[in-house]
Amino acid sequence: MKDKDLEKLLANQQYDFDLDFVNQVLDFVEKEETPIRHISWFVTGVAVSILLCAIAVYIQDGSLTFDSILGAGSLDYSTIDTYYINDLL
Amino acid sequence: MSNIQSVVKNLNSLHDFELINRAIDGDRGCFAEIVTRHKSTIATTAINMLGDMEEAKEIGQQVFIRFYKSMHTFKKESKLSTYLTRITINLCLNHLKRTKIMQSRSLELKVAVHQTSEHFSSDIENKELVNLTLQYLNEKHRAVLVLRMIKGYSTEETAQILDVPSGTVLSRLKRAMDHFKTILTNELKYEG
Repeated sequence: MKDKDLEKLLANQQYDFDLDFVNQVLDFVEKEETPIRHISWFVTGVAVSILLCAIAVYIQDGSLTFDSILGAGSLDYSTIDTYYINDLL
Repeated sequence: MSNIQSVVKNLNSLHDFELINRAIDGDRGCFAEIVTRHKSTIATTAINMLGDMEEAKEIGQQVFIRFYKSMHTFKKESKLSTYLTRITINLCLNHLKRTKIMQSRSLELKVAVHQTSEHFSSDIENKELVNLTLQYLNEKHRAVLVLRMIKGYSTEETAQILDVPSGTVLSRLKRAMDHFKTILTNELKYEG
């Protein structure tokens, strides 16, 4: 068998996928993307909720400190101290 | 000319890199055009590497899904077809490693069937026979033969895809061609 015949045989080895292949790939891509899209919506939702809470705390307490976020911004610590001291005595 | 036809014609005229830019921006039509344009290259490479249409199709899908996920990192220094072929070859070699034992068994059976057949006259039979012969070669030699002789890549492009020196491509090609000829004529009794 001549080398040219061999080369011709090999060059003839061309294939293609059917037309539906493109749609199948696009479906896979769509499926892969959907959870990512859901996660990004979830993260956005959480971020917006935190921001709204922070704004509400600021409006209520007039400041945005760790105490005000915990709801202890308006507590009078001296009263608590007195209460403890009296209780111990 | 309808709107759809003109859109398709516009996409046809776009360069691969422009299609990638648009696909990154979320244009699904452009990504579909990339798949349509390169699916025959991937099919030819994967089917000749694996010898099985269904497995090749799965690999083909993985190639385009991988590309979709990483296309924003594609550097546009090499041709897109070369890049996709490189992914295909790597996935095929990994797949062959996993399924090596099963493949050698089914190959023996196929060879037995072919040897009982008297004529290899039609083109389809020739294609099947050549595909079968390719599966006899070791993966490295097969990859060189597929890229160089079937896909028509240059020695340099083949070296780039396989990440080996050009000299290695040439030596593997010589050995692969000799082995291929021996199997086809001596073991499968092909007379041309």
